[in-house]
Amino acid sequence: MGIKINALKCTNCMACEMVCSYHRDDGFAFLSACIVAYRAREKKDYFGVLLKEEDVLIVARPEGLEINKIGEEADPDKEADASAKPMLLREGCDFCEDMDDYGPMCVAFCPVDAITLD
Amino acid sequence: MNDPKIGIYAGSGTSHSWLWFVDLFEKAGFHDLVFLDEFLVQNNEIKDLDVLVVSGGDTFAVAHSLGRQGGRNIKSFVEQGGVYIGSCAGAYLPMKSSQKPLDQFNFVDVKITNLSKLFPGAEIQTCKSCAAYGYDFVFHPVREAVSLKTTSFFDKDKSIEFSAPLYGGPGMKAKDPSWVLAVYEGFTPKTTFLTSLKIAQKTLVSNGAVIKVPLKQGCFYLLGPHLEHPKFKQANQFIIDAVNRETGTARDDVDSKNKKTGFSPQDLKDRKEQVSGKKAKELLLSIRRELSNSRIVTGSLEFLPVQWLIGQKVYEPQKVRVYLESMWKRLRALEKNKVLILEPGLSDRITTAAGQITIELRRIKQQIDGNLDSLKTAVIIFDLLHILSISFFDLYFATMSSGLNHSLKRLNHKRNKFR
Amino acid sequence: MEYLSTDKILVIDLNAAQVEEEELLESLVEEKIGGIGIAKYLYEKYENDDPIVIGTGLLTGTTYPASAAGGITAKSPVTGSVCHCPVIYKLGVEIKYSGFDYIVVKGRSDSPVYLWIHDGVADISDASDVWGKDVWESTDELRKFVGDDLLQTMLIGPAGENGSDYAQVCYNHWSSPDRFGFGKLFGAKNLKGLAFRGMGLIEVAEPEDYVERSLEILKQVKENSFLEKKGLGQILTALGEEGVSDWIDPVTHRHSADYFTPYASNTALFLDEDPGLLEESKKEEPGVLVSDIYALLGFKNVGLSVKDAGHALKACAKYGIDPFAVAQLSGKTTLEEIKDSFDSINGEITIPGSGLFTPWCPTGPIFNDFNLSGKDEIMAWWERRQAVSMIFGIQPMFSLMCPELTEENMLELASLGTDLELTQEILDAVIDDILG
Repeated sequence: MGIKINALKCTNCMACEMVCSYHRDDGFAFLSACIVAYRAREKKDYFGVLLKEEDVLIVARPEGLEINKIGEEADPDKEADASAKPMLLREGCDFCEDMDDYGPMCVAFCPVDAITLD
Repeated sequence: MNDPKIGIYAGSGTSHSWLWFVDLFEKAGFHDLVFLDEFLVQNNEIKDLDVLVVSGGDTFAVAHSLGRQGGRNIKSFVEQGGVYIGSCAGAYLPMKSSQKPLDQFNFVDVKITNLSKLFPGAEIQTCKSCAAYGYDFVFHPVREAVSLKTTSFFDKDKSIEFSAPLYGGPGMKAKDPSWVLAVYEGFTPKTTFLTSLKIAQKTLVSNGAVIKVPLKQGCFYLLGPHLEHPKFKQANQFIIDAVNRETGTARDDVDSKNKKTGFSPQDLKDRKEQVSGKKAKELLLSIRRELSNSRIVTGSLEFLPVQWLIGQKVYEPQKVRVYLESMWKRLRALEKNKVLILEPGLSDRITTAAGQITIELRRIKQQIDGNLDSLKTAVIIFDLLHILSISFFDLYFATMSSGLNHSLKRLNHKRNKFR
Repeated sequence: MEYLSTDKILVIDLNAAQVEEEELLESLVEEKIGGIGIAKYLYEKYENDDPIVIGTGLLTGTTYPASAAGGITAKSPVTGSVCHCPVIYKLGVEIKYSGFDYIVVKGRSDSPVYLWIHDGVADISDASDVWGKDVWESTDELRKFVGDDLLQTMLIGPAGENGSDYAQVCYNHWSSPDRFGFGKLFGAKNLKGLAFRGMGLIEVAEPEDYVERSLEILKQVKENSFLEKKGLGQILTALGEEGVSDWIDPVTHRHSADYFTPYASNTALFLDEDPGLLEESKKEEPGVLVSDIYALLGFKNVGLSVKDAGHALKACAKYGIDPFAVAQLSGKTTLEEIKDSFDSINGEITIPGSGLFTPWCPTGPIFNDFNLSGKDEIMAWWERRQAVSMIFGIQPMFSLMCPELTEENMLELASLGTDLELTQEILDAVIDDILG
């Protein structure tokens, strides 16, 4: 099972981020989400989705998917390192295993079905 | 019965892992916590502690900062009945070494198993945190969760298995096998291998993961993995049990030591001042303001591909967040108190450091955005974070355990609404 | 007020440069529910201090579909009476998460200031570095200063500083639904604007039921076939403006949505960049994000090419002036003339109905007919729908599209979320109070 993100379908509404964080916090917040609507390039209308899984960070860009192994340095030629603990404060995606009625919340709540189960 | 008095070294060379000890001890109800930098250790402010914790970080930097006098004081602390708990870098520190400045800390006869010379001809991955160690270097065979198993010297009737994460800590061989309380049992599905499975097994499996070395009236606990990591409850309990066991027997001594030196917890409280009303509100607001400003910048750094090599250790922006969150999550509880307890001068130290961190974080964001070198700023930021967090925790634990305010335990369970 | 709320009302006195906090009382929510229900109450409470009240709806920033909106309530320089302007994009949500449900700004500052609202802290900050700068420069500068690209702003540009009747309060870099000249009010107070960022947590009384019902409603909403469409061209087509969609296609980049809103009603036009570009543009300002369908239509109707219309919209957003008013009142027909006319815009635009709500929103249903007929019925429905949207914090354009977002289920979720008994009778009374 995997989460599939269609960045071109995404409308950057942040629903995924909200419900993911809810699943961890039992309240409404954004800070704990392992899926994030990337929106830091607002003036350039450039947006996509970041998903932290157990071992990888998936960057769903409009131009295509990029998968980065967590622990790698910015330089991809270098190896994973013992002391690298990126995104320490965010848990990896657990597919909302405790949310029996929903499955992954980001999939259930995406208003435009840009996030689906593989 | 008083809580054990626990000193946590948070000075130069430490990484953020000492904050995990703070969480762990707070949850366990140990609130008599003291936060130490290298100067306090050198001034022997550790002499009245029951427990001294040295957590992860850069062993060489810790040794360099503490210096010969710090080393002497630690040795004397243990000899007189103190309990030293060293995790990861803190475990390497008291081991025998000819390497300077580690040679000032030759306190325990324990050997490191993850030394490259032990594997001649083998292909051992060198990495940025591999540290030269004499003519050799320490290598890290795996990272993340590994399995540990207690030995008969811990409990002769049964052995316990649990897991804990290894982020560069040692595998250990003790001169006396009875010192080994737990060994590396194997690996877990979460273990990441940085060498071959064969070398990882040879380096770690059946070798010491937790070792207790007696020294006169006290002892050293050396933890290879981070047993204090907040996600590993059983490992956490191992530490708590150790503190209870060791300080339970030492408590009578502590009482007599207090009498001898004239020290008492009440004396310490008397040295502090009470701040209330508008002054307390303003202090808390200024802490909230700057922690918020800093969290906001750090949040924006979270996904930027940047890291800094400071000494022998690699630091990422997320580590800044770990510091900030450790204070932020306690702020609401602190805000519920009408009276704050703090040492004279602490208020200024907190507000100055907090404001300066905001400035430096904003500076580093601009440097990163502009593709400029940001290492010097990162060094300043981590130094300031040490100063701020030590000061903040002094305020927090003094206030929350003063008995003048809300019960600490009750507040621990309240959700911090604006995290 | 424990749930769906930050529990705090911020009162800022610009005269005295003082910040005070009030508790949001549960009894006030029981009486006025939230959003413009409470904002109007606060406006009246501080009426003598010429207040601007910025607020969020009771459901803003939750899992209720399209719970994106906040509102600005103040006396409009255009109409001379109290009006309510929706806060859209991701700004409405950021207000709540920055730690305050309502912000009352009263008095006038001696020197230019902006308000920096973050994690329950409100700072009155010196704006001399951004005063005189346009909305884009100011937003960029503030983001750079606080070190966060996600900072959400509510700022005025030169139009507001110079006291133009049609000065607009802009949201981030973009034009807003403000047809009321609220930008002039900000300028008169020496208030460059507000900047928001928060990482708060909003608690819910019955979180599991709230989220479960939200998903049920979302599933019903997703049954609508109009959700296969995107962007403001399709909205205009649905409203009978057939040619606009084809007209903007050659410069359309992507469409984006307000927070949790199923329809992407914002369209980015790329004016100096290939609209088909998928990678991040290397140009700093490749285009403009448009949410104002009538401003776009207005520039089309005066005869501008789509690129020039985009440039005109961008220029209005930078200057902080209502682009619809510019299109309607400038009398100019070329881009350069239009840009030169900003300081001389005057005349009247029509504010429909009782003049409380912005005609940035079409004054009738979109995509669905809601079983309405007759002008009067549609206008009455529209005003009520706007009021309801702005009480609960629902994106007001989307609420005109979607019959599944009912007063009944908004009340149900509000009750689940707050543990208060919020009834149709209370809502009717709040709406009556707002509509007068």
